[in-house]
Amino acid sequence: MNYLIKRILELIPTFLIATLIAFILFSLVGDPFEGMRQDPRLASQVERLKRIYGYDKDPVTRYFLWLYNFFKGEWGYSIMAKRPVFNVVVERIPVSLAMGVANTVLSTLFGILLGIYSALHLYSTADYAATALVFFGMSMPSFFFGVLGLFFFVISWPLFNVGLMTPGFHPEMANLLEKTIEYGRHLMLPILLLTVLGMGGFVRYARSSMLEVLNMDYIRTARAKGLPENVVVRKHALRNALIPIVTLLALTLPGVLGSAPITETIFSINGLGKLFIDALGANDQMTLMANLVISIVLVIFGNLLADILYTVVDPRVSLE
Amino acid sequence: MDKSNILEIKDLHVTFYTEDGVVRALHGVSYDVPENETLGVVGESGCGKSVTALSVMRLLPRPQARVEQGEIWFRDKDTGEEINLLNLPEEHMRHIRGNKISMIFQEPMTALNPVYTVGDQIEEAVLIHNPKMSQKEARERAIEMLKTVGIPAPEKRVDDFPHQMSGGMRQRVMIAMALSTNPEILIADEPTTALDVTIQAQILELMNKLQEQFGMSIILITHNLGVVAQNADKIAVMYLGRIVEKAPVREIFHDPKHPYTEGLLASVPRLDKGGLKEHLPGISGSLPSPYNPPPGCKFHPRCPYAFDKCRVEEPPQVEISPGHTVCCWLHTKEETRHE
Repeated sequence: MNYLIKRILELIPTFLIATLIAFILFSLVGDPFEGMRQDPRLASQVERLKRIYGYDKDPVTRYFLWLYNFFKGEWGYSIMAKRPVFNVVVERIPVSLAMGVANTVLSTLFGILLGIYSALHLYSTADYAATALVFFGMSMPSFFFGVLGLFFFVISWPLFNVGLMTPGFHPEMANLLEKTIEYGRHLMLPILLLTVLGMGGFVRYARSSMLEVLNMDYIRTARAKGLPENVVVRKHALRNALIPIVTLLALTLPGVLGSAPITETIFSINGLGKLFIDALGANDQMTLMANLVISIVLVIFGNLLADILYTVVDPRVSLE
Repeated sequence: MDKSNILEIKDLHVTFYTEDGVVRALHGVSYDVPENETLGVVGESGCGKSVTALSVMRLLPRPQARVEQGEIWFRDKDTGEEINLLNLPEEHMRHIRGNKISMIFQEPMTALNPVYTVGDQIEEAVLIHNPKMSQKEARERAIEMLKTVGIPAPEKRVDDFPHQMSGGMRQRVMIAMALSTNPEILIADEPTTALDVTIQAQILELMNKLQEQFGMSIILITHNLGVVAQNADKIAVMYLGRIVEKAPVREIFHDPKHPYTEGLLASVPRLDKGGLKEHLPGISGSLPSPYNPPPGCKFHPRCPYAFDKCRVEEPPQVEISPGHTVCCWLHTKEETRHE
């Protein structure tokens, strides 16, 4: 228990250091408000905004000012959207979340199942096919695979809708079912592509983990007891093979939000990933920071979750 | 089958088809396991001791290993039937494996599943062979078995995970698990090799005690002659996939016939002859590659007595006194030796 408390307290410095580094890096790029002077309607605002967000002070003071405001829910002003960052970011969460959750669930589920199937049917045709798929998924860059997907399944053979939401569709007026269908039609293709790209690592991991376990002495013991092979595999091998995978699962947590900036951009999906790319182009530092903080928080909690899950699945590890 | 035997292995040939080549792991191995007695199987690493045991359990690694020839006859004491285990369908074999023939292994540290308690693992063995038994009865049986193998506070230790126990304790758990189904044969594959010497003695003593208590036969596989001297009734010496000599334990130690057995015994330090000051003779040379065994008698490149015939023809097995057989041209009749 003490270890857990210590582990949670450790999150605070980790968060501060990660955000500080991000903040300093953005400061090196230059003052984001200077660009606004070119727009005569906004020029008068520049001095006021600089004062509010501490751009008239040194970067360290500005960091603490940012930190204080961040916890108050004032995430700054988006130069790009000309609105508060908080609103801009929160709007983008549902679509990214839908895509991220679907992609993470599908790629981990199919990846692990395929990996274990491969291990149990070593050197079979299915195993070789899975290995080929893994190499494809791991070596294919998403910017190229995305464009291929667009070309084949949207232009040559229009199976899916992509791009902006269907004209005349008003999310605020639709019920949950209608929203799900609308999202689904537009997100299906990018989700499928991301699943193919994302499952490679899981197939490889699950396959090697299962193969390692199947060679363990305790599997021989289980067989020597007279257990049928399916019990040996399901009860004795699978449980052990999943131990390292469960921790890997916790580390995919950051992937559920905005893990696919390139794919979102290719498919014109207004999610967090595309927001990040757009903000990068516009030197919209406040938006970039907010986006990064979401990732930082998810990574930190993913790691904590991995540690906790490890103790749940492996009796040899305890939090003491 | 001979009435006094519980298991008879006849002319067993096992071949491994590996990526590096074909290995004839067993080449006509035959031995008998008498009822309620201990057969010691001795030999260097890689001579086929474990492969023979795994053949009996039908647990040879697949698809690499293949039984090419031979029979393994087992007498089921409950029905009186004699069964050739190699012809048994897998479902029937499962009723024998872990039930009538149990096996324990060399590495107690890794032989138990780390994610289940030792109680779970013993109960599992009990339940799979006694489907009518309740979970509660199985647990009682597990505790009783832990007590039998000398684990203190068994009602507490039953809920321990393997990592909470020492190596000796884990081997006791393995024995408890193996004996929980009252098997007729216990195959112990180097059961004490990974343990401290003092723990070794305790485990062997325990096995002897349990053999009397449960009335079972033991196949004790080891490379340690000291272990078999104290615990075995009969001994089979193996070299490169063959049995080179079989004899009652006294005869092996007092009158070894095969040069390999002789060499093995000479390399054991003895307190009564010269003690620790004496230089220990070894067997010259090293084990030939199993991929490319020598022609003739497999031991001839290392044998101090080898003559021409040994280099070309494999010696047959001859019985030189009741229960004592040897495969060596030195012990065949004069006329066959030089024909």
